Amino acid sequence: MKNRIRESLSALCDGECDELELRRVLNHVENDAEFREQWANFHLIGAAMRGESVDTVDLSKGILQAIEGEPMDEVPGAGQASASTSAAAPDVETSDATQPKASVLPGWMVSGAVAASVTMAVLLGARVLSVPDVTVGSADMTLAKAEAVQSVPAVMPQSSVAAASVAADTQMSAAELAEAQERLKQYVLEHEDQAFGMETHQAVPYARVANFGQDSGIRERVRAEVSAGPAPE
Amino acid sequence: MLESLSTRCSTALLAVGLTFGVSASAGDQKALSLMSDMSEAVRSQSYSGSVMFGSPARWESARIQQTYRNQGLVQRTDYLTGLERSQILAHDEIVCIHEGQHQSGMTPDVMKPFGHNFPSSLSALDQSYDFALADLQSERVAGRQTVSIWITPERPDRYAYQIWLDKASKLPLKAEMTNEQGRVLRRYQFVSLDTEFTMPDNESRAADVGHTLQFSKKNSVDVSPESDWFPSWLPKGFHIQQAIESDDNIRMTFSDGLASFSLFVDRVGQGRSSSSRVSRQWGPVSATVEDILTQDGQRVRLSVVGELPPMTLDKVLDSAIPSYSLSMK
Repeated sequence: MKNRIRESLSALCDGECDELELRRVLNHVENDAEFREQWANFHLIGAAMRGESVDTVDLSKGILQAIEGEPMDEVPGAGQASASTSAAAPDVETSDATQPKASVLPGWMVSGAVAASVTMAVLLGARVLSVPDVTVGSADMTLAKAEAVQSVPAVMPQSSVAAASVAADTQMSAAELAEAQERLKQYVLEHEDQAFGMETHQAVPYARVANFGQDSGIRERVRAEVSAGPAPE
Repeated sequence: MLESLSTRCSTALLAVGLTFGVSASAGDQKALSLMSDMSEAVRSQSYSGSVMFGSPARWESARIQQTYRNQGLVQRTDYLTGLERSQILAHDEIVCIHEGQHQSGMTPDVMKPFGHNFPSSLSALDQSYDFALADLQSERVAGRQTVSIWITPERPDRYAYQIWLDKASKLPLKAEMTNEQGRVLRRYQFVSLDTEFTMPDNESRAADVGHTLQFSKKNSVDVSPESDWFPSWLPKGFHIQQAIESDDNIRMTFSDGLASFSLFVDRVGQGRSSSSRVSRQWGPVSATVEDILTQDGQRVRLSVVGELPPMTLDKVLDSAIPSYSLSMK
């Protein structure tokens, strides 16, 4: 059994892990301290072989990518982010922003509680990957997205390792995790808005919201509205 | 007459010295004086320009028009990449113009932190940062001669900046935020600038066709350092700017005038134990999150988010955890 788990772990670290093996690894990581250490070591070895500094290893990234079913060293998300933020991609749907996050999680994850061992790591890791706001053209979050799935240094790899040993009662349902991710996303994005002193977070009621039609340029609509009558006092 | 002039000049220099720190060298004082001029320019100078902003890996672009009208600043930003959207800042409100609902992060402050929110007084900043003229030949930005200034933190608990000011108008034409290793985390740079600009009326009147984001001072609550969750440690020079409280959430925002961070306290249900801490960094913004337990068995999530190195946010979070919770770990 141990050899089988080791093989699954090795496959996961090499990006060759299928979903069954992934489940096996995630189930095992909760209860086996030695296994967790082995996981961390595998990542360190992998990083060293790739010529990365060991302190750039982000275990949460690894967990996340594993959950998303993406190969460890090939991250299509980065390229997609880049493409979808291009100014030449005007047709990108913005409605994704309001979709429940649970819908973008893998089916096995939605069906039950997220493993306690990865909950906190996923909270920070997954939320970035699932941020759909690339369509609004926020440069830093776009960068963030690209970096998060590529090679941005993990700031506290030790913490991520420690995340594997959280108590069982910190586990969240997929819905709770999605809500927590959405909230944290909100917090991070607020820092891209106006500086402090402005209420730009979601608690603010929008006094005058205008939904423009999809069929015409917004600037023309604005100018038409403005020129239609005297400016309000 | 000459004596009188000399006395006045000495008094003025003394005042500058007192305002900006008496230990500053001549170069530093020049830098501080230029920064003071910049602070005035970003509030009063009319201009129109195109600007690139973002990270070294990805640039966005925008057009900014600014004018001083009716005793107040009016600034319009048209974002030229991504979703078509504009923002008009006028007096005490911001009007956003775009399709659909507003989302946080969609109208970033392009020139942050050197835009209209830059402090009018440098005395507080001077306690935490060193200002020095960069030892570089004048660089041309947007076709204009500039003078460059280094703004370096006294401690590595926050990021450094280099800024390029237009020699003529003192407007900040280019700025870079860098970490301790010298990696640029965020920058903007004007491509063109016109300081002989008058904003047409119709560019600054759109309040009926956008939605309004209000200044929030009115909703801010007073929070004393003795309050629950108030961090017992703050990086030097940081002060609370704003606190907003609801039934299950508290938000406190702190700033030193350039960098800012927020501490969020969210009640997330019942629990039997706390969680380990996780941190992450996205370009200039970092976040550190930990769940802790209160004495009555409530699980509370502490999130610190801001443009500071992760280790600084980590220390802030440490200091916000009540001592009883530490003993329950």
